[in-house]
Amino acid sequence: MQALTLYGQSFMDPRAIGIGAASAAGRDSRAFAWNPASLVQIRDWEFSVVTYTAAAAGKAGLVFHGMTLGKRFLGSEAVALEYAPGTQLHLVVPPTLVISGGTTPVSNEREIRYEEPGSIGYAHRFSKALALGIAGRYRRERITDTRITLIQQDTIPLLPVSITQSLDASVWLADAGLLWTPVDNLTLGLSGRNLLRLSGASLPDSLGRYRLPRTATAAVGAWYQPATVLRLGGQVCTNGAATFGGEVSPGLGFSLRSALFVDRGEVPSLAAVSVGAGWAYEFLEADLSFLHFTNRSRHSGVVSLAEFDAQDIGSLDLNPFLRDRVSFSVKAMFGNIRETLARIEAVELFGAVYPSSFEVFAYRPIGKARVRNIADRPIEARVSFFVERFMDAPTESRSVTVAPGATAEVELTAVFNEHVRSVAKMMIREASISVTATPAETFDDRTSTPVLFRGRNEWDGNAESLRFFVTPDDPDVLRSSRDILLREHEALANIDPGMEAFVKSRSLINGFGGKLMYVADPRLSADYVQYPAETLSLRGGDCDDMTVCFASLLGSIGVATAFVDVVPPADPARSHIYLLFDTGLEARHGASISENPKRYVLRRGKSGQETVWIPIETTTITRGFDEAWTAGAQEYFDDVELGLGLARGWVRIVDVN
Amino acid sequence: MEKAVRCALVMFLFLAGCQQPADVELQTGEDISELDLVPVVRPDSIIVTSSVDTSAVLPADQVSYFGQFVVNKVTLDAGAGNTGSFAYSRVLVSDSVVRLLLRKVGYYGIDVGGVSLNGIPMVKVPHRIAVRSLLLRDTVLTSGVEYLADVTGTYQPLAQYTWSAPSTTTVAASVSIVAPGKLTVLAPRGGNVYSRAKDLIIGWSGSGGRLQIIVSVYEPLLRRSYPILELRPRRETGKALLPASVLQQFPRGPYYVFTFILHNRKEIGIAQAPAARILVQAAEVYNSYIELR
Repeated sequence: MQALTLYGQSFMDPRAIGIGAASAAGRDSRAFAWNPASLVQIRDWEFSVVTYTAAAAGKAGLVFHGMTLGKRFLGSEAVALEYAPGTQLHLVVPPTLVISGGTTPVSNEREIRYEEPGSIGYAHRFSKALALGIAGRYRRERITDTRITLIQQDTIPLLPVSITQSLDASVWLADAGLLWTPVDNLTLGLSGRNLLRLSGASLPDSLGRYRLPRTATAAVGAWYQPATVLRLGGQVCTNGAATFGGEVSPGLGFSLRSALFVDRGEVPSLAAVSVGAGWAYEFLEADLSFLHFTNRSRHSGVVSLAEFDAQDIGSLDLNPFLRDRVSFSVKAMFGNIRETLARIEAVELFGAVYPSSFEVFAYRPIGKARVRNIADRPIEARVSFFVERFMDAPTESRSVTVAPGATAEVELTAVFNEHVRSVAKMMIREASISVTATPAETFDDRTSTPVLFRGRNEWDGNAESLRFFVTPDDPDVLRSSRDILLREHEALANIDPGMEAFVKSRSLINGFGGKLMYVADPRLSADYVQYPAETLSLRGGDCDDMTVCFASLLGSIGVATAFVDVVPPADPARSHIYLLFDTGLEARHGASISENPKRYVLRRGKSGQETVWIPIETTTITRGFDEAWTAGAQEYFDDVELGLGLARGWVRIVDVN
Repeated sequence: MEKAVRCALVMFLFLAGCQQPADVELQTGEDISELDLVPVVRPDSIIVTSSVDTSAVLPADQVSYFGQFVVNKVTLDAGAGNTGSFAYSRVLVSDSVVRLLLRKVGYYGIDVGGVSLNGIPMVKVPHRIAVRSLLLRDTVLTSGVEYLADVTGTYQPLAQYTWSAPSTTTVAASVSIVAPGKLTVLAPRGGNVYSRAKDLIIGWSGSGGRLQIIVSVYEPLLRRSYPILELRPRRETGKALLPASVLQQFPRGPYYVFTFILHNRKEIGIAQAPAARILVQAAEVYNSYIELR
């Protein structure tokens, strides 16, 4: 007899029969026997039951093939159990003798029963593109002999009696599989069978012809989706078998399938053809398949004893003796089971989160996600961003319409909570990004990405971000500024209202100038910024600390401020920042502050009116207001008037308030 | 909850598939009939006529019938040069049991006044009962009469044989039976040596009757055989197989007789004794004398 190897995989799945069980095409717990890596396709809980019609001739009815239970957990792990009493092959050597004396005739039969009643599988997804699975199958081989024995007696010379004896062999066989998805519409699968063996009892040598083969085989397959509704696949196996199949999903949950089974050991080589159909509705999936063998004489349920060789049996589900088969299955899914409409293909975060400026991410994108519509209809995709502990709830993006098969980039925003401020040192936290394409509460796809949280005192070097260190409403700042002004309340009592901002600012700067000193960053880093309360407490800081501190102090008494951010193009390392504050005086009254117009700056404030702003070099503030003003004015003149820094862009003025 | 109920319902429908998968039958490639193994009962009797090679009647039947209307064609095949064939008819009608030392040894043959077979008168001879005993010497008892006819030259398969007798109160005046078809034994053929380690193929052809194969141990020195096992083919395939495992359990021989009996049989009653039955038989008998090693 020629071997029928076809495909050495379990066929406890009508879909597998319908599409030819390409090792890359598995998508649920029923497929783990063809490729254990397929388990990673399980959405949550799964339970399926399979039956088939292959009862003995003249006996109509269904044979219970088996059931599987699968569960995905921790996002990337999955396990499945299979109980398959129907995965069996029962051979009967016809009797030559019969004892009819009793109520039931007894014959000298030999029964050979092969079973694979149980399997267990595990799979792990390493990435979106790669998954690995392993599985173990329990196989039992049992030979039951009913022998006729003749017993010599007085009145009956030879009394025939029957004696039944069973011999068992068992083995655990290990399989492994790999799924690789290099591009969205192509999955490649590699599976190996009988890679490891853990043998129990074995059949004696005298019954060696009944031992099933345990040789290792490998199969490689591909599953390609050229269009949304069409999937094509194929597979070749080291035992000389190949399958080619396809699946069309026109919509409404229906699928139609067909496959060709080719085997070089069969005559003709096109050993079998199959057709199948599937229907999915909510949590249920029903599948149906019909497998038809082209060689009608071989697959008749009768085989010559002389030609029988168990080594020809590559699979108990698809063997040289199998008759045409109709299979049915129902799969039920629980938990997070709805159809996936969208998939996150990539996530990009624009930078780190600085606690000083975390509020900005509520309206300014922290990053973006590329979302693909994998459904056959347009979707409204919304992407949520969430970092545990630092966010009270996921922040959902605006809704974006995505055409079938198309991608869209969705900006991510994040509303962080106050815990972010407590980040003392740089840390990395995992952010969860999920896309939802329907109004349902559950997401379609979820991914995660690391988020870098900077320490609370860290600054990204951008003057815009420095504003977030300015805390005019800080109690320490308020108390400090009030203390200074209170001490000079008599002098301030009779000032011209137009000069109030200027005079109070001068008092504050003078009042603190003697108490603070310029000190470089403790880490010798330009990106370390003290909050004003810290600067007041530590009685010093570098230029940005002092600038932030005085911006806060001035802000606490209602004076508008701005940073002058200077990055010399010839020497960016000498970048510097100092302060401007708004006197509130109209431009035409500038002379009331200084006869020299180069000592002040005319800028439009919030009111739209041009007012007089005073440049303050905060690093020289310890020498008093006038010195700081003079130094600031000189720098401003050099940078802006002479160097044309504003026009050339290497000087920026950033309003704090 | 509703979801779970619906799911359970569908699953139940599938679990209802409780048929067993179809068996795959491993066939030998030839249509071989199963053989019914029937034990041969050795009756509590010392009736000597326990062999079946010429009578074609098993020992239990020999003592259970009060009489016999028999026509047999017998072939003895002990190998090339040692074959022979003859046909005979025998009629014995009894109305009482003969006992020796309180043991039933046979029947008393009554004289019914003459019997003819197909119109030809049969010869009335004394009915002898051979008795074999451990205590007494083997002896022959004469017990009434029986009727014999040599039909070697006239026996025809499928022919009707009618025995006629004067009307008596004991049996019917006339009884008929049709002979079976021609029996040809293909295997085992007489004079051959077969191995106990190999399955023994049994082959025959013949129809028009039921086939019995009686296996007997043969004692060549005493020229005696006694049956040990009866085989009945279940189908008329002309071929059966006796496994080596069974051959190895035969009593030590090494000589055996395979008696193929293709017969037609019926029973008739006796008016005075409703429970008593008389055997009417037409049979072709083929005896293969073989050696098993």
